[in-house]
Amino acid sequence: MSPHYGEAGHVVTTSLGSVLRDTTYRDGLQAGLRILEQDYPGLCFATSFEVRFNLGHASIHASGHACSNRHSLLNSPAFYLDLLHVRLGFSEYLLDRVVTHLRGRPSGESSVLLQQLVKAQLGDVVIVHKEIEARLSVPLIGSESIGNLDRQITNVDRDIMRLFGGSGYLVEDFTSCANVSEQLVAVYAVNVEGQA
Amino acid sequence: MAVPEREKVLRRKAREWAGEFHSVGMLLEDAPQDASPFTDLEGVRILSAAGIPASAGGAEIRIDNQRFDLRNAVDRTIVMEELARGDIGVFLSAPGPSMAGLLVDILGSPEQKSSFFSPFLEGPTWSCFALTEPERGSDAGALSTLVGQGDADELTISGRKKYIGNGSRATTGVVFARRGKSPLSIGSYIIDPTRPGFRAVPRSTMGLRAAQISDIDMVELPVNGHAELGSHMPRGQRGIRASLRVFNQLRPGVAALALGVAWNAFDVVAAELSQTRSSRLKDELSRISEELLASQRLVRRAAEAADGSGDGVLASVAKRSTCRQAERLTLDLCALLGPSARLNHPRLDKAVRDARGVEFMEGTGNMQVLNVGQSIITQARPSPLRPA
Repeated sequence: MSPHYGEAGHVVTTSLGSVLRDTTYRDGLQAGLRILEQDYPGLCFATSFEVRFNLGHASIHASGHACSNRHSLLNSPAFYLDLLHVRLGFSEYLLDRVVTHLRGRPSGESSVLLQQLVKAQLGDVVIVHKEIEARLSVPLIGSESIGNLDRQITNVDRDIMRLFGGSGYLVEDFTSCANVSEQLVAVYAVNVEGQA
Repeated sequence: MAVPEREKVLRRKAREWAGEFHSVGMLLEDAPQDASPFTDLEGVRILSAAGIPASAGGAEIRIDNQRFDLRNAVDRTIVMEELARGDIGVFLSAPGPSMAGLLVDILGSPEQKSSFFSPFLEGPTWSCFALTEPERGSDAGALSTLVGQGDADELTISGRKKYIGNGSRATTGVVFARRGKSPLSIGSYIIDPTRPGFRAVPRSTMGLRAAQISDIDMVELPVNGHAELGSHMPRGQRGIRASLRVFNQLRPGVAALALGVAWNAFDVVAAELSQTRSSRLKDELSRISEELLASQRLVRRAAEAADGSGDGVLASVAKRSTCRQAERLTLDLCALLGPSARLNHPRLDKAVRDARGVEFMEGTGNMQVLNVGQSIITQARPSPLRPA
C-alpha cells in the first residue's frame, strides 16, 4: 500500500499498524475495528460491555460475553498499539470531515475554513497527529504510556469536534463514533484499570 | 480571597434546592421529552419564577433574613452552579423566563413585561430564546429571519432557528428577526409558539438531552404589532446592541453551568474514592477541588463585572476557561477510577458528555477568545483584565 495524502494534507504511512490506521481513516471506525478483530482471532471485549454499530452509528451496550483470550491480551502490548492506531486513524477521519464541513460554512464572502483562527487550530491538530504517529512508532512500555497516548488522542478528537460547532454535538454517525472511540481502551482492555 | 458570608448562605440553600436533581437528571436523560412530572422539585419551582421583576409580580428570595435577587448575575451564577452540580439537564429543562426573561426585563416596556411574565406566575411555563440560525451560527448581524406585515395591526415572523433549548416545550419566548438590511433593523420579538406558523423539532444530542435542543421553523408566525422589545426606546438602544448587555449578563451563568458539571463529576468520584488509602488519588482529588474553587472566584468576578459596569470581557474569560476545564476535569476524574469509569458510572459518563455541550451555549470558545483579544486591542479605558 503506498502512502497517500488525505484532504487535510497528512500522510498515511505504511508503517506498523498502518493497515488499521489507513482503513479506519478511509472507511471509518467500524471498518478499522473489523480488521482489528480479524488480526486477533477470538478477540472479544474485555469488559461486560461491547461496541455495536447500526447504520454507521456506534454505541456501547452491556454484554454477557466471556472473553476466552483476555489474559493473552493483557500481556500483548501489540494489541494496545494496534488499538491506538485505530483511534489515530479515526481522528484523521474526523479531521478530513471537519475540513469538508468548514469549507461549506459561509463566513461573509468566504468560508469559515479560511479564517486564520480556524486554520491555526487545524494546524495544531495535524501537529498533534504527527506527534502521536511518532510516539506509536516506538515500543509502548507500561500501562501509563498507553493511558497517556489514549488521552492525547481523546484531546485532539475534542479539538476537532469543537470545530464542528453545534453540529458536532448532535447524534450523528461520526459523533457517536467519536464518543465510542474515547472509550475503546476501556471496552477492549480493562486490564489497564490496574494503574488506578 | 475569603468567600463572602452572603454567598455561603445562598450556596448552601441552592445546594438544598438541587437535592433530587441527581436522580431526576438520569430519568430525564433516558426520557427527555416530558419534563412536566418534575415541576414540583424545589429547585425547579425556584427557576419557574426566577428573574421576574417585582413590578411584574416577582417575589423576592429571603434566606436567613437576607435578600437575594436572581436578576443579578452574582446571585444567579451561584444558584446556577449549584443546580448544575445537582444536574445540568434538570436545570436546562426547567420551566421559567430564563434567557428570554432577562431580555424582556432589560428591554421590555411595562406592558410587555406584564404580559410576558404573567403566565410564569400562573403555573409551569417554558420559554425559548431563538437567536442562532442555520449556516450563520450566532452571528446576529447576518441573521435572515424576517419580520413582515400581517393582518390588521399584527406582524409576522418567518425564518429558521437552530439549537434552541426548550424550543419544543416553549409556549412563549423571544425571537431575533430583522425588518430590513440595516443592522439597526434587527430586533427581538415576543412570540407565542402555540400560534399557527411555529414548528419546533427536538434534535438528538450527545449530552444535555433534557434541554430538548430544537430546530425551529417559523412561517408567517403572527405576532402582536407591539411585540418588538424596546419599541418604546430609540432604535439605537434596542436590537442587537442592547442585547449585548443581556449576553454579557448571561455568559457568567454559562460559565457557572460548566463549573457545576465539573463538580457533579467530582462528587461522583469523591464518593467512590471516599475509602481510598492511595495518597496519589487523594492528592489528585485535592488538586481538582482547588482548581474548581479557583474557578468559582473567576466566575464571581465575571458576574460582578456584568452587574457593575456591564462589561462582558471577564465573562468571556470565565466562559472559555470553565468550559475547557469541565471537559478536561471530567476526563481526569474518570481516569482516577480507571478506564472503565464511564461504563460503570452512568452519571459520570453523562457529566463527560454534558461538559462538551456547554461549549456551544452563548458563543463558542473561539468567539470568547476573539472577544478577549479584541478587548486588549481596542480598550481605551482601564481593562478589567488588568489588575487595578
